[in-house]
Amino acid sequence: MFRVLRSNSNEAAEIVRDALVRGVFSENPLLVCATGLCPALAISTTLPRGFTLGAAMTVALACSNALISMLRAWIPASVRIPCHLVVIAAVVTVVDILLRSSLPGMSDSLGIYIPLIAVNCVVLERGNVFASRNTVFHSVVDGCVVGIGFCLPLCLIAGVREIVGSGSLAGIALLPAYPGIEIVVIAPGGFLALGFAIGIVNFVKAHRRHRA
Amino acid sequence: MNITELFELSLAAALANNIVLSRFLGICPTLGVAKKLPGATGMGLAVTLIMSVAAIITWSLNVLVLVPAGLTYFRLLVFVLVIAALVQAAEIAVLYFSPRLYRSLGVYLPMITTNCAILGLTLVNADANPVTGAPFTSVEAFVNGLASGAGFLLVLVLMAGIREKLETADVPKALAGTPITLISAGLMAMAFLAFAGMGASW
Amino acid sequence: MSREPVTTTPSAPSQPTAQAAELLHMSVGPHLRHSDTVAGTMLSVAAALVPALVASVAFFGIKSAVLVAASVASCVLTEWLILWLLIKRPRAIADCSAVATGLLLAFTLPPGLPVWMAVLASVFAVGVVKMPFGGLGGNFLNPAMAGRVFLMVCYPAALHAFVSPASGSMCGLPPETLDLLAGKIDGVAGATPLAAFNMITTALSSPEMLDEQNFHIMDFQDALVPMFLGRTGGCIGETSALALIVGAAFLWYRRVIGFKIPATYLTTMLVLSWLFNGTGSLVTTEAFIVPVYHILGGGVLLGALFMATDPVTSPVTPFGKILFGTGCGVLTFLFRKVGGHVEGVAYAIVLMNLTVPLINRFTCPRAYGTRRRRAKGVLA
Repeated sequence: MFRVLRSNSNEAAEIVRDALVRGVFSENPLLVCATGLCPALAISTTLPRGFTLGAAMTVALACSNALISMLRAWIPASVRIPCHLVVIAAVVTVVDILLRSSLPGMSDSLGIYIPLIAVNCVVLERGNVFASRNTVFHSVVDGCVVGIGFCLPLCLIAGVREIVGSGSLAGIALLPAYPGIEIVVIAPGGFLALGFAIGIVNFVKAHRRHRA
Repeated sequence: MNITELFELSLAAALANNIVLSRFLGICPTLGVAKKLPGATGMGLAVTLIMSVAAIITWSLNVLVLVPAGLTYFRLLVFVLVIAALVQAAEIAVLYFSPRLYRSLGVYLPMITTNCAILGLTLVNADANPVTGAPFTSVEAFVNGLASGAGFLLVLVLMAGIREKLETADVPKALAGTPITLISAGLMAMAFLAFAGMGASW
Repeated sequence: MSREPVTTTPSAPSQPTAQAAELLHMSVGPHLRHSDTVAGTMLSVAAALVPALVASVAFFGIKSAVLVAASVASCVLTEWLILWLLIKRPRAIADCSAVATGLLLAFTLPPGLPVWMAVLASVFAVGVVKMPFGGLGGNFLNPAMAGRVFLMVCYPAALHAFVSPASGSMCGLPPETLDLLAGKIDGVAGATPLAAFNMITTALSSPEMLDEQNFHIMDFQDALVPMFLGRTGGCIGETSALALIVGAAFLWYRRVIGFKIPATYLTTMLVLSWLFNGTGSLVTTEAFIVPVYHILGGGVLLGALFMATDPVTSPVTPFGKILFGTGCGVLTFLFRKVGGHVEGVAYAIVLMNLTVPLINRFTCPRAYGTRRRRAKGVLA
């Protein structure tokens, strides 16, 4: 891994750029592939919560991808998935402990959704499909960009839901006289917001394809 | 352990805190599998079965082993392994005892390993009982699992019906597929808010 | 699609072929048309709602007309904008379904509601419940009821801020009875009839207590006539039972709604509220007053006659309709008795709407000559 970094820095930059485009735009896990939706719907009620979960997911993805990639030579193919589950669960436990010690209030508010990263389809899929077949550097980059690709739409949707639902952003009231549309910040609003978000993305893609 | 409290807990688990529409767990099968009624019923029954058994086993491990030994940090790891092993064992058991049942349910069992719903429910059982405020007892944990599974089955079945109706609707292209299913789930969640006030007055 | 048959003429006419051509008319089917159109049906519904509208303006004043106008206008505008900009079928607005949605939604709102809330509910009803599914016929929830549920979730307090009618009292009881009760129970004078009934029967919860306080369920009998005519507090469309029944009779005559769903819905409500009437017996006169009270109070008549019968979101098969009506009745009664809501109709209808595709599937009449389908279709 260090050899790659030292001698092929240009190639590394290209890898990172390609991965960024892929992870954030063309194969965005949340908006394009529509996987790993469970936390996205539950957490995107306020911007701080959304960002915290997105950051935790990115860290967990990067670390678990790195570990799986490092161990890929030693994991037999028949027990691959349980081994990956163990690795990911261990990583998520560590992330959970770190979060609980550094941001206890936020950790309480996120509840069971941080531990649930362990069975998130995105994390498992990247580990299974990518990290078990590629070098550590590639896997870490992939984990980071997929995490960013997850975090960005999550923050966007959370921000919109918070503004439309309560007229404030990250707790700061933006529109003082705004009565707030309660339904957006509770359960139905999550489904509706994500549904319309994916619909808008599809609409923009079709429009661009039509124009091109 | 009151029968009324158990009844209240099961209604809350199935309807008011519905595992899909209120806790947002198990969205992936709802979007993927609930296209046709047979698939939805099969998945729902399989999940209910696994959820109830997993609830008891993980509760026992948590209360009898992890908490007294102070090893709650390993809870996630242990639960994930237990659920994976349980699903594998269930698949083998179903195949051995009833090949016919395996043909209808068995194909969904491997999908359940990564289902957030099961792990989510076992983690919920590790918290406090929303009805009594005290930690869950073993019977309450089992009832919680069974009722949550029943609620999951209900949502899958309703969603399958709605998806069949959507096939003949003129959905705009941008919304076809996942978006309209999510919007339907959102409207279903809004309808299920009817039960949110019911727990208070039993 | 023109209604005139199109005559073809051959390119090189010779005498006998030209004559033959004039006898040959070609047109695209359907060849026999009924005079009903979608717009006609929707406008019949609107016409059926006019008596209730007139009654509500008479009782509550011009503000109810303002609310109705705002609701209809915002429904039509939202649907037209979405059809024009996003779906690119602007002429579909002419089917007038948005007008019917706006009217029905407004009828479930209290007269004093702020206009912007009605506008928001209309935008939700049309823009989220109806149009993403492709417009008329694609939705699975009744848009008007879903709009009302939206408001119940977001602004529940505003929906309970009822105003007194211009004539008659808020809860329909005559002044002497109100004075008798006002000393014992707070808030009775400002509550709608159903809320007052619930308040009193829970506060004075046993027949002995009722006797002790010199109050009898029979006294509620005096509220029934104002409730039937509409001189009580409530939502715009639901107070005047007489106007609603007249409108529904007109729709039944025009064959827009059937009788199965309203009949089963109301019968189920009557039977359930008689069985669980809370007066301690089943054969006294009070026991028979209570069910009538439940039917006339709250939006049950509006829901049973106009909302549950929406052809898009109710079952198609005859037995399915009976199931649907019964289910609505059971759920409404359950939500009223046990749930935290005074008014259970909206949630009940919306929940039953969810089950309609399944009801349609399982009540399909058996085709002649085939065997009855067993559970194979469920677990195959």
